[in-house]
Amino acid sequence: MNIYLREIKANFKSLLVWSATMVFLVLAGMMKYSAFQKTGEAVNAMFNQMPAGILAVMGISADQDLTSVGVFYSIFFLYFLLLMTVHSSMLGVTVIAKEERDKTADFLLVKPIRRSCAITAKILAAITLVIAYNLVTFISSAMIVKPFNDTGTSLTGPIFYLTSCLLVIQILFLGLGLLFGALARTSEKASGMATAVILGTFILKILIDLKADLDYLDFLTPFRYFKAIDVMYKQEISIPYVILSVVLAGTAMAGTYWLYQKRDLHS
Amino acid sequence: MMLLFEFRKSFRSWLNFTIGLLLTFTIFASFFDFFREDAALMDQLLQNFPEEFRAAFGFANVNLSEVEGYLSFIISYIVLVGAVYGMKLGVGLLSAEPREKTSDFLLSKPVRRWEIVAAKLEIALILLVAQALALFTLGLAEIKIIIKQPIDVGIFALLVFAMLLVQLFFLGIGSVVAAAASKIKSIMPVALGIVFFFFIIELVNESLHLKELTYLTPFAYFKGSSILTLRHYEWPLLAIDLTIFVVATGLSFWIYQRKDFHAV
Amino acid sequence: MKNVIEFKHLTKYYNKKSRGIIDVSFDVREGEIFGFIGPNGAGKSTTIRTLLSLIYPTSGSATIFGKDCILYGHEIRREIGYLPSEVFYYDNMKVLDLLKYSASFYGKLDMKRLKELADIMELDLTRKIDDLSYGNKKKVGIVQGLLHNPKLIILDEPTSGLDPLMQQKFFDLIKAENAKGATVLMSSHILTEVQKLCSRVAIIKEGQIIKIEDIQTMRETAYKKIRLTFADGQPFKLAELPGISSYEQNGSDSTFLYKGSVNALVQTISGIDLANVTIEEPDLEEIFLHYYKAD
Repeated sequence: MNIYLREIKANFKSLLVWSATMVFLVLAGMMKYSAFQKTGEAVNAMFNQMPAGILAVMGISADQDLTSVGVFYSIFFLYFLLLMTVHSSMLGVTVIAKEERDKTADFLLVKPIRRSCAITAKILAAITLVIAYNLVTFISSAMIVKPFNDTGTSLTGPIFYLTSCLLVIQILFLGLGLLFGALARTSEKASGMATAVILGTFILKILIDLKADLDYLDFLTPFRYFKAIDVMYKQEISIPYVILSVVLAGTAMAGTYWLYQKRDLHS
Repeated sequence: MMLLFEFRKSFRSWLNFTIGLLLTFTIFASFFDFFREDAALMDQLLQNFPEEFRAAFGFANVNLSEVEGYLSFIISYIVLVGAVYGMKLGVGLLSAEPREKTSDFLLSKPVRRWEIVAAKLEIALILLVAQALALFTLGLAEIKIIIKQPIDVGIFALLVFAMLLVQLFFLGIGSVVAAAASKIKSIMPVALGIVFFFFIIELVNESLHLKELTYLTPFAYFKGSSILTLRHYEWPLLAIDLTIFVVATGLSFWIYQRKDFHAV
Repeated sequence: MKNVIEFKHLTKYYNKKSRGIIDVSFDVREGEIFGFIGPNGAGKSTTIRTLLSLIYPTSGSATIFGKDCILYGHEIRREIGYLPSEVFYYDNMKVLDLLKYSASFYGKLDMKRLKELADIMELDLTRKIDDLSYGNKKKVGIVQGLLHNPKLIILDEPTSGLDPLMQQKFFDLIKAENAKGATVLMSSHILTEVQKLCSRVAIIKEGQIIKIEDIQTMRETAYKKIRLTFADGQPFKLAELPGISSYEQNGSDSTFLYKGSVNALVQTISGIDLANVTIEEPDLEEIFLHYYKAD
């Protein structure tokens, strides 16, 4: 419990910065909604004729009315993904690698606890922080979208579905970050690996977007696990990808325990 | 000596990122053939829209089924990877001493502080220019081998060096952040966070077409579509980019000079 | 007497070429203050950090209180207080917060003891750790290590950064803990501090234990430091006598360490015309140097 609280405290400030960025993004994006709504008809006409690939690259789904507030909001999904993959993977790397980075391993790991207990506390703290970030996204989105919503049907439900999908991806990247933290000798190397995965999977997403018949590669890039529009309007959350994400995250976390357990902690 | 030392320290990650860039470029280049059919169709569609409209969305004069058009489109992702490296350099170099607990070592040497900053920025510039040159030459070779079509070398150079210009922006911002912070424990979280923030602004700018945002994010300064149309950079945006770089590096000199270096 | 720590052929290689320690075997008995001496890079910290299962041995093992230090690490560590050679703590924490955090791992916090220790070490509990000097951080480390009344105290180069006055207070503190029953293992490269505190020592060199001895035996029975001044100013070939080492000739003076029968020595020098003879106990520094020169 003490390690858990310590980790929460240590990462709280950075969570605030990330949250502020998120709220700013949603706020700024929605502020522009009214302006967009006016020119919207013409934009719709154009977008609806563009190839799905190009639209997907921009985070827009084909055949949707962009002047509708919900569809407009769904474009943010990609931005959320980018922010959250960075946040959760870096958080994962940090909680594991910080003891050696800051040379506090000689403090924490000579305490009468198993290493696995320390890891458990750290993982739980990281999951808590990730959920908190997700809640910030959900609550701020729901609140900011509301005044723009003149359709009469609440968007809170669809937004909740969307942020639930985000949470799945967050946990996945958190798991990867943790694994890299335990795998690499230094925190710099670990965050380098995490960066490579984020950029690599993002580029892969772009490639698959561009070329529709590469869909079968979707499993390789979490950026394509969920389609915002389908999630929001059809409540269609792809269960296989949820399972895949959870299994990957679970495996990565198991790997974290295993690797950290047999690791020499250098001072 | 300082130069050589900093160079050796930074070389490994330079190599990693340069390989990463080339890999990204190679993958995109080998996608060209696949992409062409789709693109040709889209080009036809786009012709149905008024000129201004296409210009607004960055597709004026852009023929995606041609090499230049395709490259002008994918370059933004190359620039993203490059920008992460530029930011990493900026944040990493000036924050290295407090992080690695070597402040007392370096700052007790008979060198002026500005010389330290200058040496580090010089290395950063060398690495970035070398990276752009590597991407330019090897990229040209790849186009020749993979795409097998003639390409306007001038346009390609403008596209590749757009990456360098964006990197300079982030190098400047990163240096200020590093100089101002008393200690940055990890580089990548800071670097990635800031770069992605600017990239998202550009995505908002692109999908929602909000012209005001153009000035806020370097990713909007050197758009492939406008390079293709104008055959040069947009001078005001180039000026903004370079001004930010110069002001930011100037600021980092100023801050570094006045900074307290605390004991470990 | 029971053994608190038993090293059994403990070996650690960081990789194929980089040796940590090789075949280290010795025991630390209950209630003693055991010194562990050797120059920088000899393997002192490696041994200690293996004992705390921060790093894992390549082969061999060590037990503390009869339990394997790797398998039962978390149980054993409840009774261990450890002061690392270099102390680093979390940023943005006050001294008191850190001590409370540390105490939280051992159950109930004994505020009275905390205050007592902080008073002895003259530690300001309200200051931020980031702002403390090296010596003051070391004090935090000492209080942190002793706070939970450990039965085994492990000190890695404990006195670096402490001024002589603080060193003395620290030694008194360690002696008091020892008198209350705590066993102490202390590494150092400074012999005088080992001499002051320890009852037995192990000497480590290039990763290998080269000698384990009582401080008393080491000093008294083993070696004599002898200085002879020759009356005629002529050097004499003493170096050939068995048991003589560290022979130095300086004009008509010669000094050397002697190990062996005193009678044999007296007989040998009785035939020499001497102006002066002094026989004294060598200090550890000299013995130590001897150990290193000898092999």
